[in-house]
Amino acid sequence: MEPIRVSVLCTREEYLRFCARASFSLPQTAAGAVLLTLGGCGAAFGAISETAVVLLWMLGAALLLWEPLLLPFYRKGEAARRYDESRRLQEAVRLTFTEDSVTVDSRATRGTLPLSLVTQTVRTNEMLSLTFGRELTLLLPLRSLDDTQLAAITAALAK
Amino acid sequence: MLAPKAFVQTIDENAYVRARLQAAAHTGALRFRVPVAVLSAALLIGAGLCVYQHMNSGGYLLTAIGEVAVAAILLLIWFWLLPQRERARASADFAVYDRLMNGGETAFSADEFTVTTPLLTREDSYANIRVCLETADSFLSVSDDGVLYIWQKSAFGDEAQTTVFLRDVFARKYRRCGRF
Repeated sequence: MEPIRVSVLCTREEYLRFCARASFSLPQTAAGAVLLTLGGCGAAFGAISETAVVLLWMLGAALLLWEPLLLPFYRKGEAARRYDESRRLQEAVRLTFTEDSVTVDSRATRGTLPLSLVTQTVRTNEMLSLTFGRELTLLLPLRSLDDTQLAAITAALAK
Repeated sequence: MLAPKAFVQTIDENAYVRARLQAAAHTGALRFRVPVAVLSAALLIGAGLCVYQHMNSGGYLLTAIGEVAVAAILLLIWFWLLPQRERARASADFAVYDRLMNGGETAFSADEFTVTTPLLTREDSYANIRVCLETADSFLSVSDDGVLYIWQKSAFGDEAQTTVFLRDVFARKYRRCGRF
């Protein structure tokens, strides 16, 4: 694989969209569904008071809707604050990908990191994020890569 | 105040996991534990009062058992499950920390610090540190982008001078200090 050199700078809008992407949590959704069902059963059989039914439904609906609908708004606000405060997010980073490593060169961080140390990869329509534990997160807007480069990086990450 | 000497440190997994839990309790996923537990208790009491009529008509035991069960589940989630999840994440991340940061040299200067390891060099300004927590044996700093710096007091070349320097930087100059 030929080294792929890119200079990336994530814009504020891209960062906000990436952080506010919708997510899904199975345990939370299941808990919400159970509470809604319990409320429904309580209402159908008259086993619990109307107030308790309403409380169960409200709690169930909150659990169901929190992650896909409400959390993105919270995350967006938090991401906006973080982006505005963090100079590091607003600086361009030069990245050089090889078959098994990525070289990072920015004002604050320099080094060559093995791709085997990537603990989390997230890909959305416009962003690829590589996380190295709690130590470093690289955000790579896909607009800065062509299809061949993206395929090569994805293949290197999959190894 | 003169900047202290650079120092080299190696952190073991236990110290790393402990630091992650302490940082999470202050700035991360565990910081809402107590407020949420209090709010949940208030909601449960409210729910209990709402079904008071039902309790009077003979459903007391059912209501009491239900409330105790919900309270137990919430306590389990907030005080056992979430810390366990954070602990598991920290253990998994330690391998990366060990390769990237362990054995590195940290050098403090007046307004920024540099961490140099065989794989990585990081320069950070104290102004980028969201909070610095002092524990009995270390300083934990969380930067704006979530990076956790652990500085063990036992690794400092001159423990007293470095401790005073960091307290001065974070408590007096930047007012971003916490204490356990």
